[in-house]
This record gives sequence, C-alpha cells and structure tokens, in this order.
Amino acid sequence: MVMVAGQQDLTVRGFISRHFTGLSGSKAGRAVKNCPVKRIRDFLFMEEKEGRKAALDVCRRLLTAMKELSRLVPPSKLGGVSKENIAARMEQLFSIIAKGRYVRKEGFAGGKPFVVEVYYTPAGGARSVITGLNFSGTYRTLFDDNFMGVGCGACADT
Amino acid sequence: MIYTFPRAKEYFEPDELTLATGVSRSRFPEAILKELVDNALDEAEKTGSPVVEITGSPLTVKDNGPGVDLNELLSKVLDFNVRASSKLAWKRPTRGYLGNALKTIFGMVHVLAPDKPVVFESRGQRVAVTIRPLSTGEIRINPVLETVPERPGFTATVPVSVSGMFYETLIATILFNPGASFKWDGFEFPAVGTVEKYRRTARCPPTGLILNHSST
Repeated sequence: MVMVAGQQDLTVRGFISRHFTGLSGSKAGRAVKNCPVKRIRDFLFMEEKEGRKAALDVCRRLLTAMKELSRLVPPSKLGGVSKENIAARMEQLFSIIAKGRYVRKEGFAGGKPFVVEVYYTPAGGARSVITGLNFSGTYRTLFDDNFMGVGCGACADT
Repeated sequence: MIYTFPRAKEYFEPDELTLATGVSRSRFPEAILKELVDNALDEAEKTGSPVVEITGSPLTVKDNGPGVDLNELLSKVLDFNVRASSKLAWKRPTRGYLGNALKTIFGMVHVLAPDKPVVFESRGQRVAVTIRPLSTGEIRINPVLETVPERPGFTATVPVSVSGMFYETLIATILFNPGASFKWDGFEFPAVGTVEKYRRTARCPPTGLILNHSST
C-alpha cells in the first residue's frame, strides 16, 4: 500500500464510505466491525510492527467483508459509445453513411459487469474489423477473423 | 547460483517491452502513439470538451487538459522501480491503469532512437529528457528544464515518426471516443456527440483492492 504525504488522514470506515459504491453509512460501519485497524495510516504501522503478511491478511478480510456487503455495479452504469455516435464517426472517418445493425449486450463475467457494443455496416470493398476496449483502440482485433462486421468498444471492467 | 539484475532495465530491453506493451519492436511507434493519445484523452476529458492534436513527424500529442507540474511528473515517472498512476488503485472501465505507460514510452524511444530526448511541455515549463541505461543496471537520466510561454494542456514530443501503417489503433480510438475532437496532421475530426461513461470520480466497486504496486 502506498500513502502519499499531504493526503487526508482517513479512518478505514471513512475511506470505504467515501470511495466504494454501495458501502456508505451503516454498511461501511459493518464492513469495519471486525477490522483491528482504525485509520488507513495504521496499516503502515501494522506492517512495520507485525510484518507485511499480517497487514495484508487484515486487508483481505476487510475486502471480503466489503464484497459481502455490497452489490455489483449493474452493467447499465458502465455507459457505452452508442449507435448514433458510432454511425456519426463512421461517416466522419470513412465517409460511410452508416445504416448498420447495432447490438448492445450487457452482463456479468467473472463477477464483473460488462457491456459489448457491436456495429455492422456494409461498406463495400474489403471487410474490416475495428475493435476497442474501454474506449481505446486495440492493437489486434479482439475477435477471430471469421467475426463478421465492424466490432466496437467493449467497456467491461477488466 | 541465483542471478539477479535490476528490474529498471526491463523498461529498456525490446523483449521485455514487448511483454509489457503487447506489441513487437516493429510496432513500437504505434504503441507510443496509442499510449500518448490515451493519456491525452484522460487529461483532456477533465475539461468537458476534450481536444487532442496529433502530428506524425516527429510524433507530437497535445491535449487541452489542465496540464501537470513537470517536476512532480518526472519525480514519479522517472523512478523505474515503482509504478505511478492516478488510476492505479481503482478498477474502473477506463483506459489503462498499470502505471507504466510513460515508462514504457521512454523505453521504446530508447530502443528506436537512443540518446534522443523525449520532450514534455506544460504549465510554462518544458523538459527534454534523455535516458540511458548503463551496463551496471543504473539508469542515467538527464532532464533539461526550461521556462517557456505558458500554453494550455500538456504536449509530448518523441523523436519517432509515425506513418500511415500505424494509424489503425488511432482510427479505432477516434471511433470509440466520439465525445472528443481530434486534429491529426491537418485533418480535423470534431466531436460528434456525448458519451455516457462510468465517471472517473464515481465510487468504486470493491471488486479487488490492489494491495501492492511496487515492482521491486
């Protein structure tokens, strides 16, 4: 764990309540109920006194309690690029008046929410597949060569 | 016998950089371009009207974000034994958060154009940084800082040229960021809409706390 000088001296409860969704108020209190460390900085003192393993064990138990008390973020909260935006960019970049088919799928994978957006448009010429992840282009196509059409930005929590 | 070597050197070995970035040496210019544009977008999005300007030769990426204090940036980025990122501890659907992008850029530039400087400009300061890994494992860093007229945002210039064959990922990034305006070697791609995203300031689900980022 890294602490930066000049930052607030937060309690563990305050830290959880402030930074983690679904864990404000009484739930933050329940999460720290069995945590022997009261302030974030105390993790450092604990690490110095009792060793790294002891401090990490406390962190892991705290994380387990936080997970049990919180609900997963729904995929709908992740947002996305949207059909209209992709169509407009396609026209801008490739002069394609996009009349394509758009599919958006939401779900959970490995306990994490994801959104996949796929846009397919006939453009003439060679087939091209463009993929992105978390609003950034990928070096390689995320799908195999048989994947049809123009795939686009998944915004899963990776 | 157990052999040891300084991990900082990993940032300057082509094979290690390939592992870190996922691209082969021949595509390092593309990786530098992608990392710089991703960083620029992250910063520019703080303004609400992100604009990213790209020039291919020498590769220059400029954003209209709030800029950074170059002394502070360099003190973190040039420590090759730690990872530094404003997003490192948070698991969010955001562009990279490994905290090694700028370090890998220095490494890739060293491979492609040894002894030539990477130049950053922000908040009325410009710094030209030359980095040379020595055979002892020590990294010799030579930053030359100067005061320049203050201009908005952050500009990075690297001594590498990016040609058309490397623009594929940039096209994808433009496509998937319709809320940003791009200026690219004289071509303009104004923003076409707004994008709904998981806010970078939003609280984080406890899907996993990263407990130790030290690469030592």
